[in-house]
Amino acid sequence: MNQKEWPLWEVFIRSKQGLNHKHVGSLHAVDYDMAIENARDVYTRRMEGVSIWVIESNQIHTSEPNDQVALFESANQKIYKHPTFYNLPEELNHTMWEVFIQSKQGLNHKHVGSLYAVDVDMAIETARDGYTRSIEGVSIWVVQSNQIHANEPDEQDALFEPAQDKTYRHPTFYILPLELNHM
Amino acid sequence: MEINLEKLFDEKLENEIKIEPKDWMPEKYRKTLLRQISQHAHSEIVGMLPEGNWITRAPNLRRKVALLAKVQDEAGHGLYLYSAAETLGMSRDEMFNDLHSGKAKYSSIFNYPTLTWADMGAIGWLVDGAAIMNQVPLCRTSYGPYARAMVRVCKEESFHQRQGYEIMLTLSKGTPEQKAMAQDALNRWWWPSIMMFGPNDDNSPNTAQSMKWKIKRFSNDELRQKFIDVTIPQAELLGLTIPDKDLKWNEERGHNDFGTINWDEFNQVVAGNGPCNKQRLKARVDAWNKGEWVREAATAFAEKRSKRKNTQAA
Repeated sequence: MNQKEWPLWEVFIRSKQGLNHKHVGSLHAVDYDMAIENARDVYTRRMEGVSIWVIESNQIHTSEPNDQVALFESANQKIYKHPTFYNLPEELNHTMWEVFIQSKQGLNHKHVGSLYAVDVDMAIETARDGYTRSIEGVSIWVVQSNQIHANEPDEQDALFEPAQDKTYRHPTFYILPLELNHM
Repeated sequence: MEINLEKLFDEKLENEIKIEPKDWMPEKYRKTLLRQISQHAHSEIVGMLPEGNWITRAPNLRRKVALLAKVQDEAGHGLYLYSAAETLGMSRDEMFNDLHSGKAKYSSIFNYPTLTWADMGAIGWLVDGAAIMNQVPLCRTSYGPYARAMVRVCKEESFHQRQGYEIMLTLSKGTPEQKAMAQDALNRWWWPSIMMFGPNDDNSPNTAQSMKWKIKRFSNDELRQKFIDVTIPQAELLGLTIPDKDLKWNEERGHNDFGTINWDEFNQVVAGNGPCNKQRLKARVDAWNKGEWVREAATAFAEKRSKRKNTQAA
């Protein structure tokens, strides 16, 4: 049954020009083109985004929770506890990595920048030094930069403009008696 | 070195630190969440069916775009929730399989039929109202991915209830026939709506544990009482009568008393004997089976395209 399941992709959205791409959730799609199209429908129905990144979930590596680092000798470095998240990238010669930080448990992972590293461990260590100043409880995701797929800049209007006219998706479109305003 | 993982977990809960997918968690916590989140996801997906019934017959374009947007949101909410459930280690296909085989449950309310247009109003007002009452505290649930999904859902759902109430308001100010239609919808949806909060607390064996784990923040009865208290003035504003002759303000409790819920009916619907159980499940199974060729074609196309890209690269 699992053989036929489409790959899982993690979705990151830039909500406004100038802000970081932030993790919003995941979805299944056959390839990155479909993942971007689906991400647009699932995660940006109300002008939540101006740019979408998708990354195949098994390409993302993560730090172990701080309090558990000592407990597990070999970190699997998969983002979830899925049995399928074991793939490691093939060639790892001083490649560029993108770094996503969750500054507190409960918040989304946010893109903070990129770095060069020869392997996953070095990428996570460098990210820890460079981007977190070793703050406790911080979770780090790293992914090789070429694994990020973004929508084309010239698609931006076609993808995100239509949501602007859909005012009926917002609560304020429905004028109700004042007594109900808490609804 | 003996480190007590359970103690670490309990400390996080104590300090309101969210549990994230890679954190150690008791197996029963994982299973409870998996059951709750996947049921929640299934409810969003099956919940599209009763309303889908009226999309083509909405009375005007304004109502139609709103209903379409609402149903599309429900698909989206189902997808947010499935993706949160997947972080606990169950594949999407397994969850679908459990729904289709009848092993997994979804909210019983969706096993009732939508007989008139007024049902679109009553569902938005009551069913979404009850769902919001349930979901707002879930934004603070202890599992990170679930809490984040619920924040998105709650933000989007406010319009669902308001558009429903607006439909009820229009009908109740309309012709006598329209008002009667609104009253009839309220009569049929009221009791199933207050059953949405689940069994009474003394009949809900998992509640205490779920509250200890901070998955749930309020008990079924607390949420049900809140919902009844806020809904009564909303019905009065519509000039409609809630179909419960025992409804009465209780000064001492500071809450409204209400009549006895027919739990036998609830149990029958949960057991699969509601008016539309078979129809709802069949619609989902048919959609899955009829979509098989689409899934296969998309996979074949993606393979072909990736081969072409590789050839070009070489």
